[in-house]
Amino acid sequence: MEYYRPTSVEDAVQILGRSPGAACMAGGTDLVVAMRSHKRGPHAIVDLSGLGLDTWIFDDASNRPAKVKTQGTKKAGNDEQRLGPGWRIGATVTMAVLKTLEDEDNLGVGLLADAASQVGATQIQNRATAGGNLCNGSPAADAVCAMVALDALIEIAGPTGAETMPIGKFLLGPGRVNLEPGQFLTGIFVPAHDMKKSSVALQEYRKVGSRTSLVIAVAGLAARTVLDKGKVVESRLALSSVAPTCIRATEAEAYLTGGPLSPDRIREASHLAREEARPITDLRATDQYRKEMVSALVTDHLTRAAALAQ
Amino acid sequence: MTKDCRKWGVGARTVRPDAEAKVRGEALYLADMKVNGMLHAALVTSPVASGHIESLGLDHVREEPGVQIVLSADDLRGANQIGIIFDDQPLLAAGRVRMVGERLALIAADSEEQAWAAVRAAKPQIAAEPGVFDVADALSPNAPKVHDSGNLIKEFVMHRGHMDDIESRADLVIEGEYRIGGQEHAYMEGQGAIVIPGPGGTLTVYSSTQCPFYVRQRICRMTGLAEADVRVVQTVTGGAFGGKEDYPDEPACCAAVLALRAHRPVRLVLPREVDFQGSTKRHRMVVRHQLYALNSGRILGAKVEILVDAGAYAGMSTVVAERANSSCIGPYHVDAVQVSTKVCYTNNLFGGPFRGFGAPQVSAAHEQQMNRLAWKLGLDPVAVRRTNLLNHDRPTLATGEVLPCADMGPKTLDEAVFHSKWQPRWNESVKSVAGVIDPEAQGDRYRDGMGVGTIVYGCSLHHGGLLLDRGGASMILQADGTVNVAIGVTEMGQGALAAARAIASQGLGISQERIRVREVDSAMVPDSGPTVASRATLIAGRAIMDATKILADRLRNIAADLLGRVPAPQLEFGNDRITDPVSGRFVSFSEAVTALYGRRENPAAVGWFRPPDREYDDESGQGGAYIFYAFATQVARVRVDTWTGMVQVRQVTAAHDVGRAIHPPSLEGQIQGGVVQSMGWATMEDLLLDQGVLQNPGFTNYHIPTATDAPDVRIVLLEEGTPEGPYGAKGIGEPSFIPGGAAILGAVSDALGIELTELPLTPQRVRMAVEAAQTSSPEGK
Ligand SMILES: Cc1cc2nc3c(=O)[nH]c(=O)nc-3n(C[C@H](O)[C@H](O)[C@H](O)COP(=O)(O)OP(=O)(O)OC[C@H]3O[C@@H](n4cnc5c(N)ncnc54)[C@H](O)[C@@H]3O)c2cc1C
Repeated sequence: MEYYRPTSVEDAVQILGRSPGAACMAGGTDLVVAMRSHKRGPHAIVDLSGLGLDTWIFDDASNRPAKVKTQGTKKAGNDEQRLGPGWRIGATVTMAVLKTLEDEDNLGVGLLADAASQVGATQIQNRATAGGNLCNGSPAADAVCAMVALDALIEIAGPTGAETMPIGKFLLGPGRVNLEPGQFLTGIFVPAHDMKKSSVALQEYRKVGSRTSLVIAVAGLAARTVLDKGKVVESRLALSSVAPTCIRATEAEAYLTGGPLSPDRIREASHLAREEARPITDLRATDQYRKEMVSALVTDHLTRAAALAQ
Repeated sequence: MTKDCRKWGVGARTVRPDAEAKVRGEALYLADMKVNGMLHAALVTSPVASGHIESLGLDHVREEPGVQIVLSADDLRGANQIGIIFDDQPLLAAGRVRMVGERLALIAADSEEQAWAAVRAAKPQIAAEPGVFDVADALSPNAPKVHDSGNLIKEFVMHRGHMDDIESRADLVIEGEYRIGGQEHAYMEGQGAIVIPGPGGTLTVYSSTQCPFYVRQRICRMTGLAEADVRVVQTVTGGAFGGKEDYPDEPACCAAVLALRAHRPVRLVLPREVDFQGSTKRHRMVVRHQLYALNSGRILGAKVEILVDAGAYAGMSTVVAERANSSCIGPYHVDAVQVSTKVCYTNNLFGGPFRGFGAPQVSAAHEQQMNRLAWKLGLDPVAVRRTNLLNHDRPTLATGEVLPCADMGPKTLDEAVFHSKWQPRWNESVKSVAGVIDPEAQGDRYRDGMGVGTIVYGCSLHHGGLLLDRGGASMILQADGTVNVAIGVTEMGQGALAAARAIASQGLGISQERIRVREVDSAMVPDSGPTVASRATLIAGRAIMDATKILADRLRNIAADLLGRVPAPQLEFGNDRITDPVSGRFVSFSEAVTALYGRRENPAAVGWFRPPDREYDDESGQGGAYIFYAFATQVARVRVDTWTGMVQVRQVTAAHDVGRAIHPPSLEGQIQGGVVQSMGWATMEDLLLDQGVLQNPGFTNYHIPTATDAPDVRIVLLEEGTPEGPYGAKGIGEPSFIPGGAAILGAVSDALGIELTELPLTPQRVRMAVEAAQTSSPEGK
């Protein structure tokens, strides 16, 4: 087996270009496990640890135009997206680092930190990376669920240059992400979700599994609910482990936005989210149980958000 | 609390002798060991649970890089037989396979990677046949036969009193069918052995085992070698829990066969997935229990039928079933019982010994029966237990054995009830149906409950294993006053070395630091039977006491001489001195040893312990089954999330009749560990089988508790001694596990107001029970 440890993104692109079938390795917590069980057997490994992608910065957007072009998939064409301030997070930033991202003003990134703090346990968090969580393509990926909730953008390098795409276009299905041969992920951008001084927010990641830690979600919810004067002004509900990828419960979000969090409305929103979930039955749980857990997670979150507003 | 800093004798809170090396990662486990020139073995196993072998598909395997030897059943020279009690199990499958993971062929290669790569090149063709996958079907006339002899391996019974009499006297009968799940031992390192051939056809075997003498016996049978030529050395063992009782013989025999063929050392260490699928598991059982009682809450007796899923080979399942059979009534007085325990072949996982040895499964059933009786009569489950527990007025077990320590049952119950602040909530729970996922039901979402489990456990081997129930220890006083001790029972994490050291230290009155106890080497100590059944402290302890008495008598005479005309019998050992209590004068232990060497007297002794004979009748299941009994009560306090079904075990109060705490930190460690392991079994550990294929053969999806799941464990020790135990000690390894599952089953039922009958209580299973209760209740939504 060949092993490369490039020290620049350009070198990495080159190596990946000339060895098709090579596997990128970040923390290796998914890749090495898959190799050990012979589910994967790459002939070459490109270790990303030398690329300097293990840092993050807060970008207040003062040095760039208010609008940038972001490319979607070829099919989807190009989107215009307003890029305000946010966090630029390198692909190899570990969960241990992510979970220290502070968010005193409830701008959203605390949700990612909360999710990162629930990936595996300490040893795993010291190795597992943001990029690995994404590129592994698991619908149960905790940090990815938070990124989906926060509308993160995916930054990609490859033979045709750098590219940025919305996370919804990046996640394709179990084990599948939108990377062309030779491309790899360099980082993510997590926009800061501003809110008024008068608003209150509850943002959190919760998952259900058979034990309290070191567990793969049977169902998970990354949620951010912002209330102003008793009404929901921002609703983000992302679900893990209940569809081929982490998904947003868009109908529930739309329903909630603009209204108060009354018991009836919580009931209806959790019902909508439950219907948006498309879980499968596998050895961890049945589809029915997973749907129930979507109701439980959404009801629980919204009930506590409502209490916060009072 | 005053700090006890005594460093000698039993009861001293010393640091375990094996702790530092283990904490530092310096202890050498089997997988860490390397031997010059060794080959690495791997197993080709069956992916099919039941079928005929059409071809083994080994042609390409021999050409794989590094492969030195490939052996199938046809190539074996010795007997192709590895069954430990029944001759029903081939080392390598011949003609037919009966379980997934059954060995088809052995491979030895230059490296571990090459060996397992060669396994993947094997393409066995097996024509699948119908199998038996539910023990409840195993005895039906149309069930496929796992072995030509039929699916019933053996039936055990227990008969006492007149069933028709209690049937007519009873005011009510509580009936329940309990389905109790299995469990993976989850020891730290996979099963395995390193076998080194020596001159003249001898073998040295390094084995990760709790029973080195079993390993030796089965290697000798397979190879025809003499016992004196096969030396089995136990390596540091990271937990065993019964999983390394009989199963280690299998990899050891595989490695031995290959080593003899190759004339080279052979190492076999099973990867976790292979180990999970192929090694033994706690038995799944179906327990049908009918409890006959009076309206006062007094029980008259029970009729019990137990089905034990042995898997494809008998292994030690019959012995486990024997204990289930004799334990299924619990620590209660009864007038009559009728019990039948049937051990059946299926094509599921291979059943074997596991901490509690069949007792936890039946205890969960008998304890839930007691709860249901209480609930039915509107009584407190604790009160019903008080009414029925053995005590000095009614000290006779359902096996007919009279227990001199019968009062310990009620005492453990009282202690556990007091320290746990017992307060069940059944009466409120049944009124309301919990678990509707609704914003307005948030306040009712979490339900607290309490449950109690009381058990009695017969320590050491059942009467059926009496022949093996003995053991030895040898001791050498070194000239500088340090001491070597060799025992025939094993350290596997439980603290056997610490206990043995404490007992030797008490016998000689010297600091524990002077004493070294070593892991078992079959060429150094007599066969002391298996390290199972909570017997290690008893067997090693009494043998050490025997040896220290011999040595102490010698030293006493010497000390008497040194002190000048003091009567030897009055001298006392303690504090590293031999003291005359009359004058207060003493000689140091080292001085006495120096004098012993000066006189060229024998500094060594071999001690022996043979428990008393017992009478037992198999036909009726009546008689003296065990040497002595330990009682225990555990109370569990749980919180159930009715929305998710998640059970949080918040606190377990464990009151144990331990006789005497020999090495208190190890004893407490056993109780802590037993409670947490039992909690895992009862709440999350689920062996998911599909046609005999284990769906979760690894820790990704087979979940055992982590530190964040562990309850607050409150330990209450009752130290009233027992005459047979070393310095009064009873066994603790298994009693610490057994009541927990029962207590949790009761506590979750109490929290929900639902009479649950299945373990494990996984979130999904609990949630389903909650939903079923909602739909069946008139107020349910
Ligand atoms: C014991 C254990 C517990 C775990 N618990 C959890 C959990 O609770 N929640 C959870 O979400 N996950 C869990 N995981 C899974 C895993 O740790 C995470 O998915 C982790 O984020 C993967 O990151 P990594 O850096 O280790 O990825 P790697 O293993 O290095 O890579 C994963 C995959 O992504 C590819 N890849 C990695 N980086 C890039 C890149 N920059 N560009 C392109 N491709 C890339 C690799 O080729 C590989 O296919 C657990 C794993 C283990 C072993």
